Amino acid sequence: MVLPVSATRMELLNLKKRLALARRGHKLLKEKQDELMRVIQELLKKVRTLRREVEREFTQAIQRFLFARASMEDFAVEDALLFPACSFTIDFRKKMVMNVRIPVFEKHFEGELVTYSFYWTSPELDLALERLEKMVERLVELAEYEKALQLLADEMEKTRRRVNALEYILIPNLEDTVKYIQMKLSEMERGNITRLMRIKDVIRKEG
Amino acid sequence: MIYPERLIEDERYAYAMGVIRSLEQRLLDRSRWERLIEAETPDDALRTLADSDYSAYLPELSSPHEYERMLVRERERVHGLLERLMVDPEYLVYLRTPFDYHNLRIMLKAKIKEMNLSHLLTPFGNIPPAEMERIFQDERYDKLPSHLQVAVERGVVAYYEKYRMDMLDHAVDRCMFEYLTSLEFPFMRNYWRCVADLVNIRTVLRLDVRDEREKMRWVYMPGGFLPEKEFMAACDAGMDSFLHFISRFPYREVVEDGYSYLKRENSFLRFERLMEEFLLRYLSITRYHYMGPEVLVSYWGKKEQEIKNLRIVLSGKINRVPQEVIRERIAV
Amino acid sequence: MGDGILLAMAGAALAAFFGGVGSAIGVGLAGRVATGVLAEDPNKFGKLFLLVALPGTQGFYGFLGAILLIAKAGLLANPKALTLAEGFQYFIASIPVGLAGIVSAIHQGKVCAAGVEMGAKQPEATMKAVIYGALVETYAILGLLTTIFLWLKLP
Repeated sequence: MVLPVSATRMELLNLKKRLALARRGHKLLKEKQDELMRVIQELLKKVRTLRREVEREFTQAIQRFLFARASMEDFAVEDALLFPACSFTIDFRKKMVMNVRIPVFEKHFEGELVTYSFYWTSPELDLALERLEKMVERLVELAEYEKALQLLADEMEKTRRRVNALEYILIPNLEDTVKYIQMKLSEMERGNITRLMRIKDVIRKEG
Repeated sequence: MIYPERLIEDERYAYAMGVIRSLEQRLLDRSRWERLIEAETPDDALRTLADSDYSAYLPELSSPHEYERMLVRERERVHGLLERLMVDPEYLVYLRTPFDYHNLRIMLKAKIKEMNLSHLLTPFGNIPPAEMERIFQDERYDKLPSHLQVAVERGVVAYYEKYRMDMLDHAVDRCMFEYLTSLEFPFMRNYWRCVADLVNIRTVLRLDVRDEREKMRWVYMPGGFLPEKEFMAACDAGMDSFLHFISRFPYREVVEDGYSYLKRENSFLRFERLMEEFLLRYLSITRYHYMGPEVLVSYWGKKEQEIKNLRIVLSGKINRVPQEVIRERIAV
Repeated sequence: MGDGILLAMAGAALAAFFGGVGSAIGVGLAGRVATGVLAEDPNKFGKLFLLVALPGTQGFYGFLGAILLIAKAGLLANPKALTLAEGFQYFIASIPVGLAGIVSAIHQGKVCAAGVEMGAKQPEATMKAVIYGALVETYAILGLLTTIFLWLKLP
């Protein structure tokens, strides 16, 4: 498509500058897209394995917990977990990856996990809780990666749209327009030359 | 094996003997456990309980997830039965005392945190939950038996020393073991002394898993057969010397096998099973006893274990725990 | 009628009394255990019956001894005139069945009670328990025999 510009030499110069810029931008964006692709793919692989692991471990940990509580009195289990001395906090800060803000979680466990009567509870409960504690860490890690993945994918989408816009719309349009103006200009020049030649002829006949 | 000093021979228990010996026949045996463990689904597992003590409750269960109700009913039945058969009521009081200590712990926590924890009280103690709540509401601790009064005092002091609930738990548990290991009933006294030893050993292993063995001095339960000083010294000196120390006592098999399984599989399943089997073996002395209250106590202990086993199997079936894991945990 | 008849009557009474008391205690004990078993499993009645009844025999032996003495002393029709020494013979003759009866009945009761406990667990072995109970029975029978031999030579 030819852009609605007046076909002047001035405009041509402008357009050529814009075309060069667009080409350079396209190249850069293309590079960014490739890099994003690489990062995302890497992350995706990590998330996929982590997710599978977390899911498996989580079911195991829950199963273990439920099995551990079966060897205790119902009231004893609830009593044991009533006043935990262990607290879990998450801090988060931001990290820049490819101009994208990605959250980084920092996990803190404070206090002791096993704070209950040793007579009324089964030692399997200790192990199950310990496992669940590790699971929470893994879950937070997974959440971190998945959020990063999501943000990067958004960025990727944006970049891809930009690259496409440049590649299929802006650059061809500019090229078409430049070509059009060049043609227009050369035609004008040819017209001018013909006109001059004609004038020369007229002058020669009369002279 | 540590034998009780002397079993009581008491012919007032003649009728009770007849009843209990018949009922002992109905305790779930090894082949029945095997069938339960091998059942495909929780429903199948419940079905294998037909024509057992539990068959009466089966129609009331709309799904296997309600198994806890069945177990509570059975426990109520056993308590009621022993109430009728026990000629000396004080032995019944002894049987129920651990639950009193549990309720006491709950009430103390409720009092300290100003919360309502009445749903955690158990009805199996000597003091009914409502009565317990009234006592704590009016702060009429003098209505409690003197050994429970001591526990109230020590529990509260232990909590306020560090503002930690688990210190209260340990203090009350300690009072419980002090009381139970000095009962005027050799058979039960020695049972609890074995329990104290095994719980202490188990606690050492639990702490060892998390490298916190130095905490043992806070959580040592008194009253066992093992000499406390040597026990603590062996515990402080490291796992090797602790195992060596235990190997001089009848708990050797429980600890050696249980500990190597723990190291290998990172699981207490076998230790717990061996520990429970040790106690069952102790209770089974009464098989060769002619007549006396011990036979009733033994039946009670075996029934408690059976209920625990059932809970484990059914919960294992519902949560799809592999058969061999369940089998590893069932003490028969 | 001499003073001896008093001692003869006392002997007869003691034989019946000791045998009866022993059996009552023995059957009572075994019976209590058996009712306990039957409360849970009424089908065992037939198997346990013999064990419960076994300690009851001493009562009969005592009664038999007493009847023999009573008949010999003529207490059923016209009492004999017995001297003190003769009466004492009657009294001594009653001792074996009486004392052997009471002691063996009580212990047989215990054996049978234990047998019932075993029968509750292993119904098929009940007969073996009956045999152990019967072993105790021997001594009650020996007591009865001694009484009978003594009775033969009574005046």
